[in-house]
Amino acid sequence: MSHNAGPYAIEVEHLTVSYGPSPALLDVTVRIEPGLLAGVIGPNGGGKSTFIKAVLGFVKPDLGRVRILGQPVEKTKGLVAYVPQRGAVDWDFPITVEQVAMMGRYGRIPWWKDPGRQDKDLVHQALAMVRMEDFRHRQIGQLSGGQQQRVFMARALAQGAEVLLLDEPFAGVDAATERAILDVLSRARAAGKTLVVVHHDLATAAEYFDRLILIKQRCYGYGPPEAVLQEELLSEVYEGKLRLFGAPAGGGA
Amino acid sequence: MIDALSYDFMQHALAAAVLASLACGLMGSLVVVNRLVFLAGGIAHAAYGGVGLSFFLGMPVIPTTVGFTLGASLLMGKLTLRRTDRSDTVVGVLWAAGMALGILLLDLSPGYNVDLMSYLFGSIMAVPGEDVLAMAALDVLLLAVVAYNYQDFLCLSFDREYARTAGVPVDRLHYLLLSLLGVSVVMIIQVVGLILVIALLTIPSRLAEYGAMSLAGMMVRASVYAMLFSLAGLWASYVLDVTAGAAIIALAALTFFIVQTLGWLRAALFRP
Ligand SMILES: Nc1ncnc2c1ncn2[C@@H]1O[C@H](COP(=O)(O)OP(=O)(O)OP(=O)(O)O)[C@@H](O)[C@H]1O
Ligand SMILES: [Mg+2]
Repeated sequence: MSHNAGPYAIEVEHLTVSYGPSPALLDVTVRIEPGLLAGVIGPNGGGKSTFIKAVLGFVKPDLGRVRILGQPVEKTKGLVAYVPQRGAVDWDFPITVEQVAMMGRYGRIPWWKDPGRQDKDLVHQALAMVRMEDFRHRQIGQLSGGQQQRVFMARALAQGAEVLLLDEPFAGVDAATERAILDVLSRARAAGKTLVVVHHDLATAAEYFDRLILIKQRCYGYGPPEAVLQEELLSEVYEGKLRLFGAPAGGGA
Repeated sequence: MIDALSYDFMQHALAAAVLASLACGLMGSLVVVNRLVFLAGGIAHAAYGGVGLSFFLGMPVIPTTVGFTLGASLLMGKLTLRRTDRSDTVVGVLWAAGMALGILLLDLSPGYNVDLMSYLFGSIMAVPGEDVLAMAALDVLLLAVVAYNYQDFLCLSFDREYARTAGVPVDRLHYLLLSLLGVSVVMIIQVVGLILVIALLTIPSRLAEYGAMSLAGMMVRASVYAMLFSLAGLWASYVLDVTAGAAIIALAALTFFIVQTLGWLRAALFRP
């Protein structure tokens, strides 16, 4: 692979980001190995979305640096992809599933050309991977929440991204859909992709992810789930408001 | 109606309506999917400042107004690029300020008595031949620029953040879009007036969005709808002897409300 540089898919060093007077992220250092499914956890307002946005280069850090596959973000256009939060998408937009996935190829198609055979093949492979090929002529608003999420995964895959960042893909979907999305994430990991996923449900975090990143302004832990899901660490971050394995009935999956 | 077509002014009016409809279908679709309706209104009103300026300084109207409106569009573009800090309020201020500036400058210009009503409603029944040609040139320009940048505009409109990661020059396109909008608005106001511009930018495009499967499809449908409204409105104004611009808007708005109401009814009746 042409981008083979260094042992890490994502390196975040001393990252500090602030919107106002007090930083949203402070001195966060995380190095994620390739081929892992990593979960980002932490309380509301803890800086999870900011972490994702900083890795993508959407927000400028005050301090610190981000490297993706050994390169600064600006140089990795195409290798890193963002799967947006559901609420950020305009579902009335006149666009089909296939066109959304094809958007992943646009960065690679020169303006004077139409998508070629190879682009179309990659789009179909991506849609097949997320099991959405039967829906390719549907308008994007006429899908269920989980299906919509999968279409955006397909776009990232069609793009040829090696690193995928997802902000709360499991928010507001039912248990079956959550399984379907998780299945797609696992398939992407099996294909060698590195995935970073913001996640809210601590009860399932250990089961879903290879690594967890616990963030509340600072990075309180990064490592295998059993190392991060420590009682004293969690009660510090969630200020005692948390009961890990005693979730009330009906909540979550 | 057939004998009406033998008049020069009627031919010009029809040509102007068709050409303006094409421009409005193209730009209106982009305005609607990018949620720029308020900004388009701001540009259209601020443009009146350019009209005032041209008379006050004794400079040619079209170039001065286009220049002024481009400036206003880019300024509004700058203020709305990040969509923070009540940027819509600032657009509201520029909207009012541009209009007021135009009126004051015209008051202060000796010997001129420009009719504000004709700015609002246009004078589609009195379009000179040169304006028809200018409109045709505008359509060619818009078609060329939008076709050339179609993929990028699609990406920008659908998902700005993704567009950034995909390497689409989001900021440059945002300004390009507003510049095109500024130029189009001035040119179309010349012909159909301020109020009809806003109506033709929004109503046909929103109607076209229902059931459209692509942005290009939406643009084509919006242009066709705008043409149908314009031609039917012109015919109605000829037969009933009412103001053409207002007739076109009344027709479009009526259709819009009927379609909306049917949509609500269908949703209410067929949803358990
Ligand atoms: N655009 C912004 N402008 C100003 N402050 C912001 C902005 N975005 C986030 N913040 C602040 O930065 C902090 C971190 O926010 P962030 O959205 O990253 O948290 P989060 O962990 O994703 O929260 P949630 O679980 O609610 O999604 C919060 O205190 C928030 O108020
Ligand atoms: Mg968040």
